[in-house]
Parts: sequence; C-alpha cells; structure tokens
Amino acid sequence: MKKLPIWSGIVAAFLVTACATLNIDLPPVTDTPTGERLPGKIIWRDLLTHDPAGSQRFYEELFGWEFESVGNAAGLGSNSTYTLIRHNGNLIGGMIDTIALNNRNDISQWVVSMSVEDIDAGVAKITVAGGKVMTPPTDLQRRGKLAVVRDAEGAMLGLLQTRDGDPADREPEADGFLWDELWTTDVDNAAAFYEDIAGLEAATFDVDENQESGATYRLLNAGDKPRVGIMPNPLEGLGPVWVSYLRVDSPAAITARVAKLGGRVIVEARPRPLGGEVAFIAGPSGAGIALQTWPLEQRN
Amino acid sequence: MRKMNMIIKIAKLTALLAACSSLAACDDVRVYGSVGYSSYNGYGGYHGGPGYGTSVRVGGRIY
Repeated sequence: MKKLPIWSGIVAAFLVTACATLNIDLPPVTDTPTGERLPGKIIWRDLLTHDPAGSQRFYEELFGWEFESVGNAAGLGSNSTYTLIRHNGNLIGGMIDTIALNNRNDISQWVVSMSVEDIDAGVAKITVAGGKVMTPPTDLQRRGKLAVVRDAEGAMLGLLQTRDGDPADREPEADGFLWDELWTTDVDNAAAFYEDIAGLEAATFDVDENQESGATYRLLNAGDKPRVGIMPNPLEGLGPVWVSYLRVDSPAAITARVAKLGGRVIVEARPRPLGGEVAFIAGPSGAGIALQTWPLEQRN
Repeated sequence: MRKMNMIIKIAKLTALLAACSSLAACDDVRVYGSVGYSSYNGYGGYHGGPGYGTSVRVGGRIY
C-alpha cells in the first residue's frame, strides 16, 4: 500500500472545517416583511435552470424583470450562484444555476415556497400525509428556514418559515406573479394533503358548469382568503407540478415572442370560461409558467 | 512492527475517507441539491406548438 502524503490529511481537514463553517445567508423574501406569517400563502418562487443566462434574457425581455446576482455574498460557494429577481424594484423570486448543483438529471423548473408557521411541525406532517422530505429544514439566516418536499402525488415545493414575516397581500402587478396552482393526478387527495400540511380549507369551485371537469377545481383558502388552486393535470406526460401564473395584458402578445427568446409555447393563448385569457409557456430551460389576464373582466 | 504499520495506514485511509464523506455533506446546504428530477423532464414530457391541445383547459386565478 502506498503511503498517503501528509498534506492530503491537512487539506481534507481544512476543507471539512470550511464546510462546517459554511453558511447560507439569503435576503428575506420581501424588503418590507409584515412581522407575521401567512400559512398556506406562496411567498417565494425559485427558478432552477441549467441555462441562467438564457433564462435571464427570456424574463428580462418578456416581462421586464431585473436580476441581481448574490451568489458569493450569500456564501453559497464559488461554484454556486444565486440570483435575486425583482420586478419594479420589488423582490419576486430567485434563480439558481443548477449546473453547480451536480445533479445527474435536468431539474430545471419553477419551485414555489409555501409559508408555514412552524417548519419542523410542517415537515413532520409531510411523511405522515404520504409526502417525502427531499431536504430537511435548512437555516437560510435572514430568509428563514426552508425545506424541500414532495407531496403525496409527487409535486415538489418548498416549505418556508420566514424569520421576519411574510410579504403582505397586495394587488398583483402587470407582469408579476398572480396565482399559484397545483396540477396533479388526484385532486381530492392533494386537497386533503394541503389542508393537513398548511391548515388550508378546500372548497370546490365550478369553473365551467358545462364541463364535467369543472367540478374538480379546488380552491384552498386560509379563512376567507383564497391562497392556491388545485386542478387535474391538463397536459399529457407532465408529472404533478406546481404552476405559477403571471398577470399579463395579452398572453398572445407574449407567446408571439417566446420562440425567438429560446422558449416554447405549450398552450396557445385561449379564452377562459370565467373571463380573460390564459396561455402556458416554457422558458429556455424547459421550466413552465402560465400567463393570465387579470382582472377577470378583461377580455381581449 | 509490520502489523502496526498496516494498522496506521488503514487508520490514515479511514480518516481520509471520513473527511471526504464529510465534504459530501456540504451539498446538504444547497437546499435544491437533492431535487433529483423535474416534472418537466427536460423537453420530453409534453408537446407544445400551435394547435396543440385545443381542448386543454388551463386553470388560473378566480378571485
């Protein structure tokens, strides 16, 4: 057996020490935290992408979003970058270069984070309710504690217990986030899951009384405040997934520019039974996002 | 003496392996490091384009 050089042990010991002291310190989810938590509300969205440059250009050009890299400042390490996304100066999400995560598969997707009052209690409920904990609660300092989980059907999301409070409810801005919805295989089971995890209350909503599937839409409410929706997955071959909606003036005007910016139109702009229009697109990395006019009375 | 040298070498190797194992735990701080896969599965999961899924009913905000 060849003798191991002494420097190898010294280097390993140094790296272990560096690892032990590594901290992630991410900014809060809002510049103006309320000081209170709003369980069940989607309070953050991270874009995981293998093409951060292409994704940035895509969202800059289509929606006027602003990107600010904080990778090194956040202590994620030289190989990892974390980018804050702002719209009209307000924090709306983050972007992560997945290449640095060394995943064997392409994990590009938008990941929503749902507010919880007590993350340890929330995570404990996940496995009992049939879900899976991918990453246990991790302290992100000023942002709070984040766990990554999958629900009983397999849809991934984050559970986030903010340190200083959640963003206040406010009217959605044009080209900003409007709504979040779970597309899943078993709507009833999923509704029961999120009732249990986040203390939300499910209500059936008849989206289109002329179609049978209309009765399967669920609104999950916190008190009298609708927080998220659940509906049967409308796209063949797509696994259970949380989908975020952006408020836009004209989905058709956006979809016309998607291909030129490296994205794809998955569902062309079309009218909604309740009013307005909707479309579904994917950015350069394949991560999907929906577009909707708002308010409902707005018709093109 | 020879046996002692072997024990020391094994101990060193064990220490180095333990150190490497500890380094792997650094990935844990990257909260998305254990995601594994995407629902979108690259580009293969669904088929977009003009005319696709004219019967597809996308949801959206109601209130």
